[in-house]
Formats: sequence, structure tokens, C-alpha cells
Amino acid sequence: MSNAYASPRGEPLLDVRDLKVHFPTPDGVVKAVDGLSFSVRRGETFGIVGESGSGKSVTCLTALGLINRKSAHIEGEVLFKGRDLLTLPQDELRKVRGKELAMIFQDPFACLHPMYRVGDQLVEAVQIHDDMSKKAARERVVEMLSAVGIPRPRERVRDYPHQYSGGMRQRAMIAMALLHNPDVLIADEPTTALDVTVQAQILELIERIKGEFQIGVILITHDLGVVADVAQTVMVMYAGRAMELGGRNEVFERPLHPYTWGLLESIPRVMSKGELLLPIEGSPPSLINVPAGCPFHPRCPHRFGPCDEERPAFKDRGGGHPEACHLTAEDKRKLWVEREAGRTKVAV
Amino acid sequence: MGRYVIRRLLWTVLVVLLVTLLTFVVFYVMPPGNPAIRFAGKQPTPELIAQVEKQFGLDRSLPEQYAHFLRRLFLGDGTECPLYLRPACAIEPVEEFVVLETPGCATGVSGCGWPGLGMSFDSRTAVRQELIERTPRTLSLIVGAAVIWLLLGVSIGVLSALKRRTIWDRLAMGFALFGISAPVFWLGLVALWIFTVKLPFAESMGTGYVEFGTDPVGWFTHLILPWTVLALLYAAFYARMTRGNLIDTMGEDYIRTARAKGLPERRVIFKHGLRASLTPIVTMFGLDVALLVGGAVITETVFNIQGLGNYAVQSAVSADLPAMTGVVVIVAFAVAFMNLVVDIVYAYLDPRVRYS
Amino acid sequence: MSSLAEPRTTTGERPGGDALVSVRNLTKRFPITRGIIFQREVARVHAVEDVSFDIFPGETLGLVGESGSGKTTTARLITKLIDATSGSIAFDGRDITALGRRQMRPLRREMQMIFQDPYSSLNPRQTIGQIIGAPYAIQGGERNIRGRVQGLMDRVGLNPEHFNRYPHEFSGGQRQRIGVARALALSPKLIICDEPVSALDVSIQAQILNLLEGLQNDFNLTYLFISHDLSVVRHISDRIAVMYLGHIVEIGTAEELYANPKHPYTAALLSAVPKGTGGAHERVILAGDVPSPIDPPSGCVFHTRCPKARMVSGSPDEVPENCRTEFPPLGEVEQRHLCACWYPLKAGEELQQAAHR
Repeated sequence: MSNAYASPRGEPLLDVRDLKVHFPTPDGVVKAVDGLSFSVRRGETFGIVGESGSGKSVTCLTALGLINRKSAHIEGEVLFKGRDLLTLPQDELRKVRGKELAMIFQDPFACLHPMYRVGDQLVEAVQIHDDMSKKAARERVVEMLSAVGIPRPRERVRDYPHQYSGGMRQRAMIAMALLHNPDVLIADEPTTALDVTVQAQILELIERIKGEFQIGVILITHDLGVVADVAQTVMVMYAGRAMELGGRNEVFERPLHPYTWGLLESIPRVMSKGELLLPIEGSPPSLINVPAGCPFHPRCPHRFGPCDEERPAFKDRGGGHPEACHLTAEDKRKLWVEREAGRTKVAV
Repeated sequence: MGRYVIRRLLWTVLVVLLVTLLTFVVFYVMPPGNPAIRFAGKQPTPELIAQVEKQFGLDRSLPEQYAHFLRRLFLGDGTECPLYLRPACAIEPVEEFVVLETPGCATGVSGCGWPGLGMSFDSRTAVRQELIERTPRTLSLIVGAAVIWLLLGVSIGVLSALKRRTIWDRLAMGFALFGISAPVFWLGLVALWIFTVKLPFAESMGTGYVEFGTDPVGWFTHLILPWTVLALLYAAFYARMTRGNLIDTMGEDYIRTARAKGLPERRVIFKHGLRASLTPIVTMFGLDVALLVGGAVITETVFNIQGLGNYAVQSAVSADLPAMTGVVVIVAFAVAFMNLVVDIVYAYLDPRVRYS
Repeated sequence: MSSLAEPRTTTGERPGGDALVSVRNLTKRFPITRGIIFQREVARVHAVEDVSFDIFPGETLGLVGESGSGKTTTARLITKLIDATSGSIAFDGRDITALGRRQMRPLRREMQMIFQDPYSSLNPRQTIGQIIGAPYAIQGGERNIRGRVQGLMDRVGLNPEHFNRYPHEFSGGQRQRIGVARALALSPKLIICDEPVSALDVSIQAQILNLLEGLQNDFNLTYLFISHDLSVVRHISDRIAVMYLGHIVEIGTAEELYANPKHPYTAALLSAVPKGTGGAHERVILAGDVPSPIDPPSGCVFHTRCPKARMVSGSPDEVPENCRTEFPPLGEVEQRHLCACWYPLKAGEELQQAAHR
């Protein structure tokens, strides 16, 4: 299923096509990812937004081969620079992982091995893909730590992770990911566990690196604000599927899916009080018993006829970017305007 | 790391001294009555009592007596009681200590060995001497078994963790169940029967202990069976523990990072995973070894190894107070020492501990 | 700026007022001890330093700060879960600083807390009926506990028939509702919400926030709302206090604070928040990490990272002397707007990016 949303930036570095990741469990099949397609280009920050259980992390873990192929049923293609990562043998995949395709994770406090020095862990990352002497590897590590803004890198290289602050640990993780100049960096909730001021530093660092090294960045987050600030392209996920995918401005100013509307309306905006918070009713669905038809329909105030039977195709219905909702583009535009108007209440 | 080691070392020395002080107080200061009277024999005259007191240092201050006790404990009974060793003199079995009446020959057992560890009520030999003979036997037993159970237990645990829910895992955990459930004496007897009675070539694996100095090969062959029997129980526990720890550790975030770096799975497991799982095992190991020092009773009995374990039981059964005291002191030392070792190894493995 | 050497009030309004909670010069330092046998104090964690503010009945005071700011410790001090090193706390006109546990007991009816982690703040071995009913059992005097509990459950949006279920059978958002119900049980006057929505999904956050707002109206509650999430705090608070490294650096109404922040830290904090408007905006990025509360900087604790100080001195490596040597008093910069800064921002003033790295 090809992605109808075309970007002017050239060949995709990472091209996911109809990815499905299902986990058989004693209680049923957990459909963590159920038919996902998107692509990421050089110099692009691709934001994947979703709440817990949306499948955003599993998607990227699968791309990197970090999901145990024996415990999951995986379908589809993940093309990285032309090669399908899902069919690569393990040792080939290992050569890509950490070298051309790198990932950083959410909780920097737990991501570094507590019993080894930070420098040693990074040197290990260097030596696994590059035949360098330990001394040369160390130099590279110090250079990288300095590039990510860690003060006095030559001394800090000898420290253990518990001697680093949260922000510094995340910087060290970023440094580790960038050691081999990867083409794509996947950042899974990189700032969720950090303070707001540190978050700003880390996001700015990622942006700078993206520009300097001209890489593609996939930023996974539940924080719409973060995505609005730094992403060029946004994909909204729900129950393992894409609900909407488009340029940042498009998605935020002309959102085309009731779930996106719900998300935007339930977030208090810093600069405006006096707006009603309109939460989405109900809770995210179980991935074992995904509702039939459109997975969002039980919580959708605009559901109608086909919504509980027919799964809406993910395509551009005339709104400008692809989305998965049965409503026509016309209807969607109208509804969004109505909702926006109704939201502002008279300030008390 | 160095500072940490020194701190732990000092602390251990302190603990050891405290143990000796406690022993001294409980066994030598607290009992009522003047021991000199006991030693002086049946009709002690005051002069005799005074003489005895002088001989045993009872006229000196308590701290001095304690110092004397320490010296005797660590350095031995010295040259102060050569007489009981003289073969020409007959030693009559008596229950109390009796003072020498003539300088040439012992008419009774001297109060030799006191205030050190003293003389065993039963064997009438110095307890310290007994301990010196028995300790190496027990240590040989423990060290050998420990090596076996550590290697066996941890490998089985790792195998089990990595091949979770396969036939290997089930076999391994079955073995663990067996090892934990089978009583040591049963295992020991069965092993003996199989190897010494049924299998002709195993005649060399007899019971009893063979000195390393006299016959290294014999020492080894006589210890193989007791090692294995003793190790089996612990191996089973350690296999289960390793399995659990490794499974938990492999779910940690830093393991995911290691894989994301592109490390081969083997390195991820053994370098990253195992190191983090080992720390609880180290702690358990220290305690297990320390307690075996006086505790390997059944194994020692079945295989007829005259070690500290069955010495402890014998002396408890016959209320041989000095012997029991001796074993208690040795075990306490062992625990303190193993604690030190465990702390140091733990700090080496987990740097976070060094900085607290 | 009129600085108050000795704060008469801390909000510049209602002098001698009828505050529900009145905190003056509250300080808490945790000792760090070393030593094998004899513990001696080698350092202290300056968790809360000289904090003064009032909370008026019916209002929501937001307490904002990052890690190490002392906001959670402040909450614990007010409820006397920990004892202050110095300073005073008054509740409902009464000085509770020195009260012992037994004397505090009847007062605990009046102040309740809602915690951050809905997964660990409920005892997994108790049914939610027991959890919500526990306050009645402890304080005594209520006969129809079950009826009351079910009434509460209904009010917070839970199905009253799930009375006998266990916490693990509920989602995060529902568990937080259970926490709210528990806090409401004794009809308290004050509820301290310690990051109540931080662990929840965005769509659930909104539900809980709406619930809290609704309850405030119905039950005449006063909230102390602690959070690091500025948008959430802005939405629910009437007034907001900003904390940094144990000190309060600014207090004002929500609108004022966000429209016209006076303290450079508040300004930097606000600019760091991803706005969600899709527009690129100038972020003022503070250099480095928050210093350790064990060894806080001298003078104004923010001076090591303050962009304004560097603007004043003209050089990225220097700060004015008074910033380095003396912590500025919390003084009124405008009506009902207090700030602890020697060089507070003027209206419309833009902070320059502090040179970082």
C-alpha cells in the first residue's frame, strides 16, 4: 500500500510498507501494529504521535530488529536504503543496527549499564562496527561527547552512569547513537523523563545534529507540543494504525481526523486559559479486541453508518494529506471549524 | 575502590575482635566461681590456689587476661605446657583440671590450653590443636564443592534462562528440583554405594580423608564424591537464582541499548546481562560458604571426614564446652572474613556501591 | 520595585488576610551523614529554603518547578508528613508547626493529598471500597460507610458497583479517580495534588483535570496543585508560585505570570515549553543542568544559569555582584505579583539567549 503523501525532499531513507506486528498471547493476538505505511527522508524530522498502546514504539523496535522474530508475527516491508530489514539475516541486521540506523530511548536513567564506565560503553559501540584501536576509539568518543555538549569530556569519560545527571545521560546516549554517523536516528520519547528546560536543550541538540549531519530523525512522543515545535511531518497513531499523516502545519491547522481533534482539544495550551478542555470519552482500546471497523469509533462523537463495520482506508480523501476516516473532506472541514468555535468559552 | 577496601578491612578486624571479646566474656568471665579452685585439685590449700592463680594468670587484671587469651588463641599455647606431651607420663582420665604436683611428670591433666581455647573435655587434647587439624579438611571439602556448585549452578541457570520454556529449561529446572529435594545423606549414601560398591574401578574413592601432603591424588579422589554430593544442593539453588536474575536483567533497558548498538547477542548476554545478575549471587555465595564451615555436618559424617562440622555435632552432643567454643569462634571468623570478601567483590562488580 | 524586608503578606493582597494556609520562612534541610559507628553530618540537602506564601480559601495555587525545586517537599511539609527545619505553617488560622502527631490527627481530616503515580499509590491488596472507605475507618464517626463510598465513586465517575474490585482491574485514569475519591471522603478543606496527571495519557489527563475543576466548585475546595507541566498548571490555577532549588522565585496570578513573567527563570521556563502552535519560536535555552541542592550556588541560586544577569553585566562569564552574594527578597513588582530578583524583567523585555556550552 503506497503512501500517497509525497514529499519534495527526494528518495526516502526509510520506507515502511504495510507493517503488521502481531503478538500471539494466551489471551489472544495482540495487534500492536496493524498495517502501517510511512517514509522518512534525509533532513526530515518525522514525528510519530500517539498515546500508550498506539504502537509507535513497537514500529521502530521492529524496524531495528529488536523485536524477537520468534515471538511475533511480522508482515510487510521495512526498506532501509533499499534493503528490507525484515528479511535480513541477523548478522547482516546487526551491522546496520547502531551504525546506519540508530535508536535512543526514553529513560536515560536505565539505558546505560550501571556497572561499566560511560566511556567504556561508548568505546564498545565504536569498536563493534569499526576496526579501531582502543586509543583511537576513545578519542572519537571524547570528540562526540564534546559535540553533544558534555562539559570536560575527557574527565567525564571515566565516570559511571550514576554520576551523570539525567540530561547528561541522554546526551551521552545521543552521542553513542551518532558515533558512526547513522543515516537515520530514531528517538523514542527522548525527553519525557527530563525536566522542561533540559528537554529544550535536548531537542535543540537533535535539531542541530540533524542539520549538521543531514540525517533523518524519527521522533516518537505522546507530547503534541514537542512534535509541533520540531517536526516537519507528523503521523498520528491509534491502536496500531495511522490515523493521519501530513506536514506539521497541515496536521495542526487543518487536522482531518476526529482522534487528532480530540487530542488537540484535550491539551491545555500554555498561552490560553479559559478554554474548555474537551477530553475524549472512554479509554484507549485493548489491542487484543480492537473494535471492528474503525478502531476509534466507540469514542468518536461523529461516527455514522460504516464506522463500526468497515475499516477506513488510509488515503487522501481530498483533504490534502492521507487519513483513515470515513467522513468526507468537506464534512471534516466543517466539523473542525465548529469544534474550534465551540471550544472557547467566555473567560470568567 | 581502594578506600572502600580499607574501610571494609578495618571494619572486619573490629568485628573479629568483638567476637573474641564476646567469647572471652561469655566463657571465661561470666561463669561463677574461681577456676583456680577447680584446677587446684581436691584439697586445695590457699597457697596452692595462689600458685595456680599465678600460673594461669588469674591474678592479673581482666584486660590482661583478655590479651593473654588473644595471644593463646592466635599464637597457640606456647611453651607453657610442655608436660602433657611427655609420653612417659601416664595421664589418668579425670574430669577436672589438676595442677601438676611434681615438675617432672603430669599426674593429671594440666590446665594447659587455658585461658586459650582450652582442653577438650572428651579427648583431653588442646582444642586449638584439634581445630588446626580439622579446619583444612573442612576447607578442602568446602572450596572444592563451592567451585563445582558455582560453575555448575550458574551455567545451568544461564542455559535455562536463555532457552526459556524449551526442553532444556525444563530439564534444568527438574534437576534443580531434584537437587533441592534430595536429602544430602541419601545422596551421599547412594553415591557411595554406586561408586564404591557397585563400580569396581572406583575403589580409590573411599571414605575418609587423605592428607594432601601425603597423597595428592588420594586427596582428590577421596574428595570427589563428597564435593559432588555437597555441591548438588547448592548448585540447584544457584541454578534457579541465576535463571531468575538473568531473566529479570535481560528485560532491563540497558540490554536493549546494547542490542541497539549492534552487539552480538553473546556479548549482550555474557558481558552486559550476566554481570548485572551476579551481584545477588555473590552475596548468597559468601554466606553459604561461611555457614558451611561449621555446617557441612551430614556430608562430613557420611563420608567420614573428620572436619569441623562433625566436631561441632560431637561436642554439642557430649556437652564439650571448650570444643564448642572453639567451633563457634572459627565459624564467626569465617563469616566475618567471607563478609569482607563478598563486600569487596560486590564493590568491584557494582561501582555504585563504592560511592555510598 | 518595593522590596519588603519582612513580607507583610506574600501576595500583596488582603493584608492580614484569611488565608487557609500560611507558610512563613519555611526551611527544610536533610542531613547527609557519614560514619560507621558515629554518624556525623557531612552535608545537607537544601530542599526548601525560606519559603513563604499563602493559599486562600477556594483558590487553586499552582506550584511549579523542575526536579530539585523542592515543590514536593513543600507539600509534605505543609501536611506535616515531614517536620520543618525552621519556619512556620499555619492552617485555618492556627499555627500547626509544633503540633505533634496526635494533635495533628483531627486536622488531617481537613487536608488531603492526591499522588502522582496511580499505580503505586493504591494498596493492591485492598478493594477500592476499602481504600476509599479507609479515611472513615481511621477517623471514625461514620456509620454508613458503604453508602458514602459509593456516592463518592459515582461523583468521580466510577461505577459504584465496582466497589469490591481491586486496583489492578482499573486503568490508570480510573485509579487516579479512586485517589480523588479517597481524598474527598472526609470533605477536606484543602487538597494537595502532587503531579496528579503526569503519569496519565493526554486524553485521560483532560478528564481528570475537568473532574478536579468540577469538584472544586461543588465541594468548595482549595487546591495546591503541584506540577512540572506548565500548560496544565496554567489551566487549572488561579495563582502560581514558581520554585527553583528550594526557593520561590515568583508568585502571581496565572494570567500575569504567563503574559508578563518577571523572573528570568520563569521566562526561560515558559519559553522552553513546546507551544503546540506549530510556529517556531525563540527558545531561551538555559545552560547546563540544575545545580545540586546539596551544594547550591551562593547568593541568588539561579545566578549560575541566569541569562538576565549576563545581560546586565554585559559578559557571558560574569554576573553582577549582588546576584552572586545575596539572595534577593521576594518583593512586590506589581499588584499581586511578587518576584525574587535584583533585575526583574520589564514588560516586553526579551531575554537574550544565554551563551551556552
